[in-house]
Amino acid sequence: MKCVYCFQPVHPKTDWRNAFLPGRPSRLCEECMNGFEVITEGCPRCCNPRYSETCPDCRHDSALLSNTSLLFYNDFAKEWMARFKYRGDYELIASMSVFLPYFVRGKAVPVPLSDVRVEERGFNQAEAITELLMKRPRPYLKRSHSEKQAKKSKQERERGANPFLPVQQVRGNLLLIDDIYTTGTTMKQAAAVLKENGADSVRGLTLFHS
Amino acid sequence: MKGKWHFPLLCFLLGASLIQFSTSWVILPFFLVWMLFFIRSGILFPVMLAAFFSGVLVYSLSAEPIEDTGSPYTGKILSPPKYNGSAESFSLKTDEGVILDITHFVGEGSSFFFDEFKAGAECRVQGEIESFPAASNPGEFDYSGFMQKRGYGGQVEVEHTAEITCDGSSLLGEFYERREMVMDELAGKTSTILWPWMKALVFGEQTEIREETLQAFREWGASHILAISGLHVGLLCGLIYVLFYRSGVMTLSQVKILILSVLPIFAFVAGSQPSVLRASLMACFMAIMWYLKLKPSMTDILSAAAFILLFINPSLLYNAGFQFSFAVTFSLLLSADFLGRDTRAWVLSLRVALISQLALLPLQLYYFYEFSPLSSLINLLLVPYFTLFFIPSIFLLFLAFFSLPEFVYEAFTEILGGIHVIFIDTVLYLGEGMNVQWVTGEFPLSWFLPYYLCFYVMMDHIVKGENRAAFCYGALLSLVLIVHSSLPYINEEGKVTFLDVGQGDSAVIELPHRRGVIIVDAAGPPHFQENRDKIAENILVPFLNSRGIRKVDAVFITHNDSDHNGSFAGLLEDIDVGRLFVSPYDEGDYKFKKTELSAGDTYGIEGYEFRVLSPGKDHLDKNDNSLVLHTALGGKGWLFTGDISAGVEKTVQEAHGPLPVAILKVAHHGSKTSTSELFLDTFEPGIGIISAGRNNRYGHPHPEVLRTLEKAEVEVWRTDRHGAVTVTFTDSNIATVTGFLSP
Repeated sequence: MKCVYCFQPVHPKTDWRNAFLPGRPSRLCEECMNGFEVITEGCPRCCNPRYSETCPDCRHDSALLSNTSLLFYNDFAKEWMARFKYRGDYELIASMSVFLPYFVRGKAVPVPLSDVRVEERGFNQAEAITELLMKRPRPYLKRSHSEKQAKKSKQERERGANPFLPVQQVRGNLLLIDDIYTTGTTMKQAAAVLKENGADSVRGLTLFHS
Repeated sequence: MKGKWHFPLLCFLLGASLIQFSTSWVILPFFLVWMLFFIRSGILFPVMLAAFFSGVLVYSLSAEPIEDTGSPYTGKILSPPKYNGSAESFSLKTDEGVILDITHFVGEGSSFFFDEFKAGAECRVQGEIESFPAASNPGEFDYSGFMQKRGYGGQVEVEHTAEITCDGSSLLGEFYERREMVMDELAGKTSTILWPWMKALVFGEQTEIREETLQAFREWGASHILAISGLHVGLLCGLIYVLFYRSGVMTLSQVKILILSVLPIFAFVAGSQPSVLRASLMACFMAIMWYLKLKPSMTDILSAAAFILLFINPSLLYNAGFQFSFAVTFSLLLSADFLGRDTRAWVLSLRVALISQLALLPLQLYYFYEFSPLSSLINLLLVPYFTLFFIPSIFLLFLAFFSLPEFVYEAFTEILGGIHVIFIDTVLYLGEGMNVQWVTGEFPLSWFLPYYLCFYVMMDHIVKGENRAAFCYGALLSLVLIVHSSLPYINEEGKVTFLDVGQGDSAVIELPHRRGVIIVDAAGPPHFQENRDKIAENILVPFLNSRGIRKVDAVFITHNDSDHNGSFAGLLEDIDVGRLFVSPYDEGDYKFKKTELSAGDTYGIEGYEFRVLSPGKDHLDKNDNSLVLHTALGGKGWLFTGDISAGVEKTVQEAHGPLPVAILKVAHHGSKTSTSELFLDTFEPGIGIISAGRNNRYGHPHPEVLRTLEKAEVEVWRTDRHGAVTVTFTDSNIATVTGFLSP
C-alpha cells in the first residue's frame, strides 16, 4: 500500500494499540502522519490549541455551543489543505480517517458553499468530511456568494453580513461540520441561523484549528 | 493483510483451546463479540473464520484416542537413545503414527544395548504397552497427560536384546551422531565448570547444570536466558555479521546467504527446542525479506513461524517452552515502539524484563503456582552479563575449538570458567536475599482472561504515553492477583486431604478461612528410592503450592518411620514450618525444634483443638508409640491413629470411651494387626480412610480389615484406589468426600 499523500510505501506497525482490534486503516505513511499535530489540549469551547482555559474569543455567548478541532493548522497541514481544497485533490480526504473520532453525536450539517464556489471547486470539503464520518449530510443551509473568508481580515469577517440562509425548519442537536476553524465567524454565523430556525443546540467539528 | 496475520493466529489458537480445555467455553461469547469488530475488515474476516475452524478441526482430530495394535510394534526411531541414570530409552514412531517410549532398565546383569541404535532406524519391538504414571494428587505433575498430549501412546519396557531389532539409520541419524561426537569431544576438553553451561547454551541441553541453579533461574523468571532462543540466534547473526562482513571477508549479500545456511544447522545443533526453532525460523524469514529488499512486519513473521511449527507438529501447542517463547516474543514485538523511545541500557533491560515477566505471569503461575516479584532486578544483572559477555564468549570459544590449538582452547575455558563461577555464585547469593516468592496457588485458565485484559489495557495506555491511566490498570492487574490469592481466606470451607504418597501417611488439614494449616505425617519414599526428597518435591510441596500455602502452622509426626516422617526434611526446604509435634518416645533426628506431646496434651489453633489420646506410656514399639490425635472439624469428630495396633486401640478406647468419631484414619495402612471390631463398635466411624500404596508388598489393606470395616458399615476410601482423598467441611458440617482419581 502507498501513502495517499506522499506515495511512499506504508509499513503498518503493529503495537498494543491495534493488535487486538481492527482499528481504522491508515492511508498515511508514518512520516506524513507525524507531520500533522493532533490537538490534545486547548480552549474547552473552541479547541484553540494556544489556550488551555477559555480563550478571549469564546468569552461572549454565541449560538455555537462548542467546537472540536482535531489537528493544528501547521505548515504541513497548510500544504495538505492547498492540495486538497485549492488544487482539488479530492482523494486526499481519505488520509484524515485515522484522526477522526469513532463516534460523534448530533445530526451532521456540513457548512455549505455558494453555488458559484461549488461550480468552481467541484466539491464541498465539508460534505467530504461528513461522508468520511459515515454520517448523512443534512442540507439545512444555503449560502449566498461572497468573497472567500480566507481573504478577509478578522474585522471584515465579523462585520460582514451573515451569508447563510435557512432552507427549512430544523429540530434536535446539530453538528456543524467544516474543514477549518479560524476565527469561528463562519461557524458562529451558520450556528445562529440554525438556532433561529429551531435547533436545540449546535456544536461544531472541524479538521483544523489555526 | 500486512501486519494483521496475528489475528488469524489468535483465532486458530482460540479454536484449538476450545477443543482442548473444557473451561475455555467461557470465552466463546467474548470471542463472538470480538469477531463482530472485524466484519467490515474485508478479507481479514473470512481468513480469521477459516483459521478458527481449522484450529477446531486440527485439534479435534488429534484428540482422538490412540488404538493399541498389539505386539510387535514396528516403526522408526525418532531421536537417538538417551540414558537418564537408571534406564536407557528412545522414542519410536510406529507405522500407525503413534509414538512409543521404549525403555530398558540398566542394572545388575543387564547392560546397555541401545547405544548402537541410530535415529531413523527401522525397529521391531516386542512387549506390552504400559501407560505412563498419572497424577493421583492435586498439584502433582501429570506425566501421563503430558506425554499423551505430545502424541505418546505409552511405554514399552524391553528386557532382552532378543525383544528388539533395529536396523539402518537416516541422514538425520548421521547428523545426530556427529553432534554426539562433537559433544563428547568438547566435554573432554572443556573445563568441568564451563561444560554444563556450554552444553546448555550451545547444544540446548540443561541436564548437567546443578538443579539448584536451574531452580533459581526458574524462580527469577530467567529461564529464557538458558533456553536457546531469539537472544542467542540474534547474537549468532550479529557475530557472523561482525566476523565476516565488518572484517571485509565477504560482501553483504554473501553474509545474508551465509546466515540463511548456518541457521538450520544451528537450530539442529542447539537441540531443536521450540524456542530455538521459533527464533531460527523468524531469522530465516527476516534474512529472506532482507535479501529481497522487502520490509516485513515482525508480527507477521512471528505468526508465520507459529503456523508452520503448529502445522508440522500440532502437539507443540502444549509445550510450555513453545507457549513461553511465543507469548514473550509477541508482547515484546508489540512494545517495540515503546521500548525504542528510551534506549539507555538499564531502562531498556528493566522494561524488557518487566514486560516479559508480566506477559508470562499467568503461564508461570499455571505451571509453577508461584513467582518472584523482585526477579526483574536480578534480571538487570543477569541479562547484560549473559548477552554482552558470556554467550558471545561461549560461541567464540566453540568456534575456537575447531580452529585453535588444543592447549590455547583449554586455557581459555579455564579462564572463562573461573570468571563465570564467581559471577554465578555472587548472583545466587544476591538472589537469595531478594527471593521473595509469591505463592498464589493454582491459577486456572478462567483467570487468564481478566489478567490479560488488564495487561492489554495497561500496555495500550503505556504505548500511548498515558502513564496515569496505565498505572491504574497496573494496579487493577495486581488486584486480580491479590483477589486470586486471597480467595482461600474468604472461603468458609475447610479441607482435609489424605495425599496418595504410596505406602505411607500424609494428611494436610486446611482450616476454614485459611485460619491454619496443619500436616499430620509427611511420608517419605520407599527405601530403595535414591532421592530421599522425591515425595516432598513431587507430591507434598507441589500440593501445598497449588493450594497457595507457603507456611504450615504445625506438623504432627506420629512416629519415627520413614513412611510417616521421611519427607519432613524435604518439606522444610520449601515451606515455613511453625511447630513440630512428636511423641516423647520418638527418637528421630528432625534438625528442627520438636515439642513432645503425650496423652492428655492439647494443641489449639484459632479455636480448633487437637487432643492427644496416646501414647500415655511407653509401649516399647515404634508403631504402638504413635501419636493418636482427636479433633473436631466441621462439627464432627476425627481420629488420626498413626500405626497403632489393636492393643493400643484397646487402651485408647478404655481410657477415652465412646468419643464422637465420624472420620477415622484407619491405623497402620489397613494392616490386620489393627482396627479391631471392638474398636469400630465403640467409636462407630462413618467414613474410614486407608492410606496405602498401590500393590504394596505388605498386602495392605488386609482383606480381613476391609471385611471388618464393611461389617461395621464404614464407608471406605483408599488412596491406592481413589488417589488423594479430599474431605471438605464447613463450620458445622462435612460437605463432600472426593477421590482425585474417581470423584
